[in-house]
Amino acid sequence: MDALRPFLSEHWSNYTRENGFRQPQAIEYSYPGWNPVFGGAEVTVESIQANVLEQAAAALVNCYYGLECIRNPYFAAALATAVNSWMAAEWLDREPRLLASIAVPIGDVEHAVAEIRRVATSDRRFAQVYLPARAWDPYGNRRYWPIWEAAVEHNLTVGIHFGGVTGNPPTPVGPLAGYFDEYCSAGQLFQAHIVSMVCEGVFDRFPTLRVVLSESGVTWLPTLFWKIDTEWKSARREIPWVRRPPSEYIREHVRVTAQPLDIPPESGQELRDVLDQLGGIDMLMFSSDYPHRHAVDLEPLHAQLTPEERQRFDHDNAAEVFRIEQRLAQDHAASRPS
Amino acid sequence: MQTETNREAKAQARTVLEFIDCDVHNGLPSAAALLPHLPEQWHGPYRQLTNRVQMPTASFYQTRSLSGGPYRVDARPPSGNPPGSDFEFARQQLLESWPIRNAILSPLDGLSWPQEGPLAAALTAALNDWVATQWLDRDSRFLGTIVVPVEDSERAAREIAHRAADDRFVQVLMYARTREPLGHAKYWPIYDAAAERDLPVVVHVGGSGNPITGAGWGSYHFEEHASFTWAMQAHVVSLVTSGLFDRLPKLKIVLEEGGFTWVPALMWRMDRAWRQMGPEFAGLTEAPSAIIRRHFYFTTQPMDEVDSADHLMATLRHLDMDDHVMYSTDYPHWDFDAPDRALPAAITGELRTKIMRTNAEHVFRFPKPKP
Amino acid sequence: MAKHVVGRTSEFPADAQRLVHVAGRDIAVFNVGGTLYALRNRCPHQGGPLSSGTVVGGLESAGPGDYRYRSDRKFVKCAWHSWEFDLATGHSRCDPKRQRVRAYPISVERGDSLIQSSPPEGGVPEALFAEVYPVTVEDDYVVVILDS
Repeated sequence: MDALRPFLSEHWSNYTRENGFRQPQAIEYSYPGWNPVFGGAEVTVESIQANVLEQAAAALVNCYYGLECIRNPYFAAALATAVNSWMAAEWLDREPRLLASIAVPIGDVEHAVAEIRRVATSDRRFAQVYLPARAWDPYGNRRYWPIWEAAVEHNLTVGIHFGGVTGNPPTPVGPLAGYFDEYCSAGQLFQAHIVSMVCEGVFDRFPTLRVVLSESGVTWLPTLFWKIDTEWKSARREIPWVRRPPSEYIREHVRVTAQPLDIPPESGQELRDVLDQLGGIDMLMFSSDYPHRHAVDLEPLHAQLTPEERQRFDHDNAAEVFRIEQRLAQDHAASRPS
Repeated sequence: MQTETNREAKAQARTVLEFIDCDVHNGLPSAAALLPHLPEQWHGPYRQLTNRVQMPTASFYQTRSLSGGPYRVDARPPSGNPPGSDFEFARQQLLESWPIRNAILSPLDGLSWPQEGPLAAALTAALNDWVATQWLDRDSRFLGTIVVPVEDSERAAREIAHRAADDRFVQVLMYARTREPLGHAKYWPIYDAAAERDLPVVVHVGGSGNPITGAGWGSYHFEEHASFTWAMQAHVVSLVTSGLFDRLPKLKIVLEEGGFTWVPALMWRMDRAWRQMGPEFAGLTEAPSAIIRRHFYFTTQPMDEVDSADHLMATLRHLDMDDHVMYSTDYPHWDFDAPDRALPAAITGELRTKIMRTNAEHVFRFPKPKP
Repeated sequence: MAKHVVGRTSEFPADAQRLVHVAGRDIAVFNVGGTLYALRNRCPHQGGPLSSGTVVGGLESAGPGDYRYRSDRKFVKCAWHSWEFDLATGHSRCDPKRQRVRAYPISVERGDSLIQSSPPEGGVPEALFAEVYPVTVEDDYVVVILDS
């Protein structure tokens, strides 16, 4: 809290001292420190420089602060502003190759839109709106449309990221027995959101919207496409604004970060098959997921790509969707990696 | 609408090899049809049983775009009773139209009943009696499913113990949307009772209790139809980590109508997480995919439409469970898979025969022929 | 090309849909508000009977929440998986180029013109009508044209 206090109002700074608030519980729940994959590393600007920016020309930093679990709308809004202000001052100001996501109080759409506008109109280093995969409603729901409207107005992507805590159990059959179980089932949350966005016509209403799925696992995409395209041929009349097969909307509007990639180790043929089923590399973007330790070796993936595909995967797909060249300071514009 | 002669379809059907249909839905022609099988003391409570809003499909997602509701339009019998309720009509439209060796019946009437308590137990017992006398007694090609109060495992176990004496009942029915994931200890008495009698447990689309997705309630039936896959995925994870299969090494779980093409990606995820977080953290001494490959089975319907047969065959290779996939029609539901058309032509020879017949012969204990 | 009499017009009243068997083919005949359509009965998806399907108007949309019902464009939804087929052209709504069913020219002709022109070939549908039709001058008949 001490780090955030300079960015809070006098009231909230005092109130959190009074009641002992330290941080939203959701953080510890989503990324438990005792977990072998999530625990341990302390992230600083220097550690990012050493571990990420040695290879990458630029990096998008996601700060998950668990705002979705704060029900008090005013507190959630105040924390969002504080987190985003802290991100700018303590991270973006110190390393010009960094971009960031905007933390929003998803529980109150008006406040979320206000925060997006506040940040995006004053700081182009924020490239994305951060949303957790666990949610109060699937993100296609009409109540969230003002958020997409604000995002496209400011050329921001909407990022749906592993994690989160809300009152909904994480599956259609209730809570699971432990963290490992929830981690394994997380893919279905991403699927629910993108199916919702297609069904509700979000991509029709906001044709420039780009959604980025982070830490989703990736390899469930082709078989989801088969299922919803099959269903569409029977059920089209319920959602007649879905004028093309649902998978086409997803291919156009959705991108996925690579890590952690759910693939067998040293996979050759399986990776080739999934890439064939996906129809190429267009949806995929390199990510390290630093400092989390569930990244897999990407050599098998690189081995499947032509040099041109590699360029798109490593650089161009992300550069395009996040508009990196426009966002970075002119004298530190991202150069192509060697 | 009368069934009219469809000669071309019949000619086509003759090219199909004899098969086993693992998922057929008969059902009560009317609520009153249950009464002769239900003890008198329960008649009153049964009559007063309003159709509790059990199924989100029936209540929250009523804009689904299907003319026959959940059914094929041409499956309505002349009597006007619901599809699947008329023995003779169903026999004609299914057993007499296709070379079916056996068809496993699972009535879904229980979906709109309570899932626990003495009334639930009485109703499911009566339903099983009705199936035995009105269907199994009348054509030995039909086999039965033991319907139980799914959230009341003690009463469910008692019904399994009682009904399993009739060897024409070859499996136990659970629903895809339950209040807890299926690995939860509350359901273990059901598995104990089933495994003791060598009965697979089938998990069939249906049920209610929680929001249809882990991210909340969707708006459209389209989403609800997709969401059963997610329920099945959660059950797989839950069952694998629960330790149930250590306790019951012979238990078979059959996932019905939930698809199977999603399984490889889930296996890859679980295995990766198991490797990275460590066997101790996951509480598993072997890879999750090994457990899945031993204990889980899948029915084919509804088959995904896949533009490229190569892509589908690739996923089948990733799945590597050729002996665990079984054909079903899901008659009389709308997403019925026709035996001659549902499996792509790329599935040939031994694999086709396995899916259409021999896998089921190894999963279910078929009754011994009567002398 | 051959004309086939499939029955009297009185046997295909408004809103009727019937399966007829003509020259070895199963054909679904629809009378939708006085307009006749004929489609090959077998859905290209899994072979479902279009004659048991549900006739609906076209439904299009300009965006979420916008519903444009076109009562002038008729489709049949297959009885099995509800795939929509344009009654006039046989094209499926969802994949018109690759998924389509044969649509046949269909018309009404008076008995006297049928008698005067070359006699219709191919016989009469056996599925519904056991007897051979004596074509009389006064009645109107539904005629489907098939490639021979």
